[in-house]
Amino acid sequence: MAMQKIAVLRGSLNDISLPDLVQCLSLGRQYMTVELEASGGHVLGALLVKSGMLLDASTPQERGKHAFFLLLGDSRAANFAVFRLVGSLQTPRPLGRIDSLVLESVSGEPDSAPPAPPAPALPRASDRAPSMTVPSASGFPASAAAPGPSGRIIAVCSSKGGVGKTTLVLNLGDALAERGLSVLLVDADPMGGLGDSLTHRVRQAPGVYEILTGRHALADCLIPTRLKGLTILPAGQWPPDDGEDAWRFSASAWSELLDEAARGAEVVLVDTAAGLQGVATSVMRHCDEVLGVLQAEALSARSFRGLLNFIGQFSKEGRPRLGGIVVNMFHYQQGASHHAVHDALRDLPPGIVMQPVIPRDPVLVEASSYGVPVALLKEHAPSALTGIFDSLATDLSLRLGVGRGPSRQVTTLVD
Amino acid sequence: MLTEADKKAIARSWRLVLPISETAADLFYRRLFELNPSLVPLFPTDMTAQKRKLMKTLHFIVKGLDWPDSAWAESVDEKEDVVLIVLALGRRHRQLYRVEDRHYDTVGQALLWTLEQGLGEAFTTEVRAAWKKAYWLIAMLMKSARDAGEMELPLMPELPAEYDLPAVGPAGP
Repeated sequence: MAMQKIAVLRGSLNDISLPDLVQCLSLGRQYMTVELEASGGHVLGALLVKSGMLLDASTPQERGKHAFFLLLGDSRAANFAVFRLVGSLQTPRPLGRIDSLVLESVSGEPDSAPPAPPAPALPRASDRAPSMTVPSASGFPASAAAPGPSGRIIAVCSSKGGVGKTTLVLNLGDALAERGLSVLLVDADPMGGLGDSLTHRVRQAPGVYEILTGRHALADCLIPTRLKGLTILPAGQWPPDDGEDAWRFSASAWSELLDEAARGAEVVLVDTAAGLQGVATSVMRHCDEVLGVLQAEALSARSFRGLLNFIGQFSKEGRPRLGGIVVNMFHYQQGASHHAVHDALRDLPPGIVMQPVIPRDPVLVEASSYGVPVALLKEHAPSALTGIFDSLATDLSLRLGVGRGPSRQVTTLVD
Repeated sequence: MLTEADKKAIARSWRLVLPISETAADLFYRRLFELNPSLVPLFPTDMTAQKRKLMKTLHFIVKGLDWPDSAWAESVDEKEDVVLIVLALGRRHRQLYRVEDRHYDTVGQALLWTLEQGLGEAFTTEVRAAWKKAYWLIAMLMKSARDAGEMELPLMPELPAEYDLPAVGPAGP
């Protein structure tokens, strides 16, 4: 059955406040959307509630918890319309209990406020004449506000943890840098993906969290590696329990961070948190492409379909698109591994799977335990493994239309 | 917002009211008319059916609120959804009975007073707070339905028979 939207109620926020309204509505067990309008009828945003939970919130610019906070504080909101949703609705994951979110919005704790936008270091696009916007050599429009190369932002995502995402980011980054591209690896996993496998210094360094909260500038957080062209932006010091609440960073904070990163590198590879919640989704929205990592194993294959559906929803909005699927931990000799891949990839266009697939290999595990690309495990690395990442990098640069060729030789990634 | 503890407190105390529901209804209307005698003409002379309706509706609402947070994703039929029924109830009270917003306060006072009489020591501070919060939310919802005339709310349905209260007193089993 298609989803139906049934009008239930209409009224003025002079008679009932928005927090009261959503609390009342969510006493029941139906999916209810509340649309907020300014006095002129202009729609400011919408909320989806059910059974005491806030399931979704959106404004034209924001999505998620932060959109809810914005709507709660929007003085233009004058009228509301309530609709009941009937029909097949994919059960979303709640953003939180409505009462706790309302409390959070009024308690004014510093972390719940959007970080103050950093002072613009560069003139705004609107300050310049439109004629300043010219296509760059690479074919991407480079606006006047973003001089220099504007790299491609690629999120590496998985539906569950432990599928080898971070290892892929590290090795693919290395292979892309090897080809002469300037590559920035961004650790956008609050639980620490990259940082965890690197050195103590990287783990302690400020990074994404400090930039999002406005405490550090991006340039101060970049950690150059010994590999020419490969730079790391660590996760930073996320408060221990903040993973879920990372929603609260405004979309603009994430997009400023990633756009600035893309101004300094040809490829920005973003290691995201596993799953489809919080940080991972905020990050994905501001990337150009998503690479999905599929672990060739039955359980992982099942949740992978969820990831694809999710990316599909984004793609309708134009960004990001599914750039490719990397099959990881493939076990050639196990039928189950073959079946899992087949199941996960059914009905997908051929060619979406990047070549080659990455086999399950103990050397990869060893390399990632040292926090280095396999290429740096000199004594052990079979040439086949490094070759695999080289080939993947080739595939990726063909897909992105970037790439050239020199090489270099180093031993450790960072001090 | 009602917490799990609130919902439990309401459900638990309601179980104590059920056996004395007829007395509770008597107490409620006596108190209501004491607080605002101008409400008397809004009701029929024979209050028997009205009292039963009141307790049945309260029973429905209490049961409708009694679910754990973990069950948030489960659905109920629209004819048994607290919010939709309460909205329909609010619309009817406004359109048919011309109930004004200020009357909801009086009703709330009478309800809390009745519970206090009926529950005695079981009407603890927590129980009182939970009922107050629940009534306040329900009343607000009813009031907000004043302009819902053209909307597709279910017509105030006869609540399913399962919400009929067991007959108690001398004639009961």
